Amino acid sequence: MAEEVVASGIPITLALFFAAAIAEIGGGYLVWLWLREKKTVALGALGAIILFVYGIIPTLQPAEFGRVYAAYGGIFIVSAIIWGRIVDKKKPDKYEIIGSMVAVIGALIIFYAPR
Amino acid sequence: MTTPERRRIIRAKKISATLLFFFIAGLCEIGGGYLVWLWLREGMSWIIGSLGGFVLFLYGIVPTFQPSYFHRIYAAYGGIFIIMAVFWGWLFEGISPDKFDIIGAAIAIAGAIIIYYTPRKGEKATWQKK
Repeated sequence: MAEEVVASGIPITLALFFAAAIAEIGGGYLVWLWLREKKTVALGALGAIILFVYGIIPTLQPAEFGRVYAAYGGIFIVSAIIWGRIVDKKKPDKYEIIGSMVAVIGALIIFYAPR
Repeated sequence: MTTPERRRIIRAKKISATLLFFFIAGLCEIGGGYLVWLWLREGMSWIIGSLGGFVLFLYGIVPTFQPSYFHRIYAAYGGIFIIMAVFWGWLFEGISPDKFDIIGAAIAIAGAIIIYYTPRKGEKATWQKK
């Protein structure tokens, strides 16, 4: 499974995963601003549209999913930490960094383990 | 009256609630995405697709019930998502998890627990927050 993806279209798959992570976290963030930070409902509505777009992105994937989704989980975790750093100006603390590294190792084992 | 016994019960309840929110978020994300997939890839009605969009919106609402920071909630959710992806592949694509899937998923969960449930100095633990 993993080898086929590597051989066939890893740049496209990776680009789509990063696009998905940005749309998912960005859309979720706008909904968050609306409900938790008491910003205008217009931001929440925009968030809903972006989350819908997020749902469309995987349909563009050339590969079958299966274990590739685990790799997305790893990309997602790193993206969430980077999002906090850049958008919320929250430096990741020790446990966020260690925990993220541990979780990404789990994703790498699922994706790259020789089978 | 906050006996240690009672504190343990409250802590267990709060942790269960946060885990439940992670799980509901995963269901909404995967379910909503699947409905959009049915619309665009399986040629089903756009009504199914719109419903998927709505479920994805609900997915965006669920983490706002979590008692922590945005980035920490989302990073931990990524770890939960990995094990849900393994289950998804098993249930719907018939890919039984092998040894590496199970080990990898267990490690990912451990990472999520470190991110989300480790008590920090100068900050209330997850289960002490409202």
